Amino acid sequence: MRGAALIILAWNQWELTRRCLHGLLAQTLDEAEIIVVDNGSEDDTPTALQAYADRVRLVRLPENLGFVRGMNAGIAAARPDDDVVLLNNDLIFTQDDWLARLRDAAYAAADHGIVGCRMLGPEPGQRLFHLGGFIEPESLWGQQTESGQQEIDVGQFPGTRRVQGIAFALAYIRRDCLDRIGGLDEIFHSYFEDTDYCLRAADAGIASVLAGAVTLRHDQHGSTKDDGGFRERLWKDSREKFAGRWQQRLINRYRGNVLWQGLSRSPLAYAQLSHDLLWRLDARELRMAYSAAVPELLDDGDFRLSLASRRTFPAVPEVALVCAPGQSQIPARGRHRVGLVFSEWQQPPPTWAGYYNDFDLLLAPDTFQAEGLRAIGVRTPIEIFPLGVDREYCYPQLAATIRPGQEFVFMSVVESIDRDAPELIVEAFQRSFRIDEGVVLIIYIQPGNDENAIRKRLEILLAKHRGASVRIIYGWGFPVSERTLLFSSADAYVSARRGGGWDPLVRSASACGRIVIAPAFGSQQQLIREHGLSVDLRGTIEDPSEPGCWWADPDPDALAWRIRDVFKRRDELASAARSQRRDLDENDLDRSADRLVEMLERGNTLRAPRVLAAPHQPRLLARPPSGQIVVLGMHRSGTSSVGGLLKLFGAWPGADELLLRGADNPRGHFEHGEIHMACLRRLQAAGGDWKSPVLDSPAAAIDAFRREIAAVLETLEPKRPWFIKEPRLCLLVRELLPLLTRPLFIHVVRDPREVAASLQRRDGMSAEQALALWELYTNEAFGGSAGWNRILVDYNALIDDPVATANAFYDALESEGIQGLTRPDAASIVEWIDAAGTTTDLDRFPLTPSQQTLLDNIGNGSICG
Amino acid sequence: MTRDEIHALLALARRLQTTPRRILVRAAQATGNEKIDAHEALLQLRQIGTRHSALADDCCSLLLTPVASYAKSPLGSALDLTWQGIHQARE
Repeated sequence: MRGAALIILAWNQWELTRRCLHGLLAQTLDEAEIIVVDNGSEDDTPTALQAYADRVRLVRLPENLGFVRGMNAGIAAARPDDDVVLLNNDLIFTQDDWLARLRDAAYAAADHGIVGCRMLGPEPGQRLFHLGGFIEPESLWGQQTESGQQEIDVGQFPGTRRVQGIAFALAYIRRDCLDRIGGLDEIFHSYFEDTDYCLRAADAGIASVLAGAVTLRHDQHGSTKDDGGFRERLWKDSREKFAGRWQQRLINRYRGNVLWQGLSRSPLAYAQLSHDLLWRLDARELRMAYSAAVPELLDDGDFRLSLASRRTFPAVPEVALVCAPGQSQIPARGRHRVGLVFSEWQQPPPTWAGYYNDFDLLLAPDTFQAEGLRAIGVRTPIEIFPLGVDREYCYPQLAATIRPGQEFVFMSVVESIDRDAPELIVEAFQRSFRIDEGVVLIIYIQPGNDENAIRKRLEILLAKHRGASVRIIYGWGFPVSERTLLFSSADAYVSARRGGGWDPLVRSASACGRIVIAPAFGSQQQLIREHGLSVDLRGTIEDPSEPGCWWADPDPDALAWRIRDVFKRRDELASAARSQRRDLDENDLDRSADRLVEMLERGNTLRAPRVLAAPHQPRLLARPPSGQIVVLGMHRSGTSSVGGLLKLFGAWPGADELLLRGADNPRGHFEHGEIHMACLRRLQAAGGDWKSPVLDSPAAAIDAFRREIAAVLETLEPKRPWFIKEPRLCLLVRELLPLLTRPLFIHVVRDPREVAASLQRRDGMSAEQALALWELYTNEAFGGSAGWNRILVDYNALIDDPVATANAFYDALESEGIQGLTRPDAASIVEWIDAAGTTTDLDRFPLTPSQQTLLDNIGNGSICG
Repeated sequence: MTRDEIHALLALARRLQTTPRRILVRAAQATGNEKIDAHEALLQLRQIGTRHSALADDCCSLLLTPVASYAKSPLGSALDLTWQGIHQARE
């Protein structure tokens, strides 16, 4: 199994190093070697480390060479094929499987090279000090989170995602990344070396990613205190060097200035778009400036927004993006003027028409909004622009907040007294439940102009009636990043909105897998019809504040019935809400941001995007495959024939007695029995099997699979070149990769219609199911091995012309650098291949367009890049 | 500043164990020129009276902004208090 060198740099402060070592040694760290680099410590460290010499490799440096040279000494000491993990000695390993999950992230794609993790700050706080960072190019302020804030941990950023940089307090670096760009740059002593390394990697097409599945604690104050200004001097020196190399390059990456004319506080929908989209556009290399559409006290809790508000920009920037209510009538200040528009009414006020006709392009979140604008005479081109939610914070697996009781909780957030009709919700709730029913309604009043009016109205209602518990949270502001807590503390989210404007709250609640009750009106129509429970309307009524403008009139009886019905069917509905698929592109704010960039480009005022480095492919490195061969192919694709050929060439599949033989293939499958069983168990652990595979798996099942496979690989290692073959490995390539050192993948492909015929004949599978399974296995196999060394073997060609195809295969293996093989004579090849082959009426198995495309890509070789 | 906003400011001051004035001074400090002492900034503001200045705009915005909109505390604390209230009412 491929190892990992865990490199801990120690410089005095033995107690921190001791705690770090004890934490690591108490864990099961498969194939990991701990290397402690003592950077010239003058305290107890050198002598105390001797007691660990049997479990830890020690590298003693004569003096403190700094973080960079110290870590490079550790990297140089690591075994030559090992990945490395750079560790600060003030990390606390609060998660047992941290290394395995980092490996998952590292090998999830061929171009992943550097992996960091979520890091909490010192105990007992729950603030995240690191979530993957970025550096602001003009001030060179490195930030540890996208928001620039130390956010409370609410489960945000749970997946693996690409980031500009990670903090090297913990950095998993793949060996092929080290092979490609070397170690840390020693022009730095300490500081900025991590951002520099990540940027250099990006130049080579290597991605830095944050593994959201890992959260550790960084006791950060431990390594930076009481130094008499020493570190500050180092920081300044490193910053200067970093600036010389990167500052102008980073500034030049911006494609132009985009002035976001919006709001940062209220109304909530507009404020949330400012918070969520502005930084995403900046990260997409648009230099974002912010200007308030109406006078406001800027929300300085948002670092990105504050930064954008302080930026200087040209009098007429390349693009103006106005995201504010149409009532503001603020002129768009840019060469290409774009408006992000929605109103609360069936038709906005006619005065909006003249205003929006001065824009070049309008973006409406849905047809309801677009039709309303057209109806009042807006002639500017309108694009439907679906606005998703921030899935880094809102996702169905979001853990429920621990709460003291067993009550069923309805949650509502209200901001506007007329639009949100909070009194309807309270009345409906009070009519629906008795005090002893274990039901609670929590209403959070968003700080804003109506805050006090809403509170007063609700308190009057509550004073009249003593029913089920209703609690109001008001006068309480909180960071935007914590909004998810509102949904994780509720079982159902309820809205009685009259207004039809785009509502981020209903969307977020739905994305968090909560039951959602709301009128299916305006911009919420589609969402509620597909994923929510609608509240019937009595019709439409006029907005008292906007004469001539009409919005929904929710039926109080229908609302009361719906709330009661949800409580009655709570288990069934909760389960359905959590299992609904919400990972569609139109519901993802990152996709919205991508599309928004395209819209902003339409004025041709922005520079063309820079050409990015081609994604890194380990196969392009000078180091040849090591002699570890993995045969991949769908069941009935001829993998056994190719396995036999490999054995004929001299590659080793393991001892004969361990290889499977079956009645269906008496000459053998060349499948190692223990590999086969490990694959079976792995698929079963996820709740599937080879016919109905479930790709998402519990982490423990992945770890168990790797341990089983690693044990087999240990037995094969003495006899390289060796090969393993099991069709199920097609689905498990990414999980297998961390175990392998410069592997070579052999993809065996066969006409899918022949595969389907065989599956139909021997397994009673329908043609559709068989072809779908072929498509899945094939896509997963090629996807998992993308970027690594691989050879394509066409089984049909092997049957048609065994000698030529086998020889070409042999040549390809030699060309890839596999040593120790012997070319067999033609007779041996013919004898082996001759036994296989069937004829199939291919017309009985029509392919879908995606299957045909896949087959074409295999046929012309483009699938291998 | 409305009566309700004054009450809200008082409530916040009690919660933070400080005075409303100190909260306002700190807010002004955050929105004004960071190079100028907050006290000095407020003196300047008094001296310029109704004349327009960016500082006056910021202070006006501050006074027109609901206190809870900028005085932020963890939401978890509010939820904890809510749950305490619910269970105390039950008991």
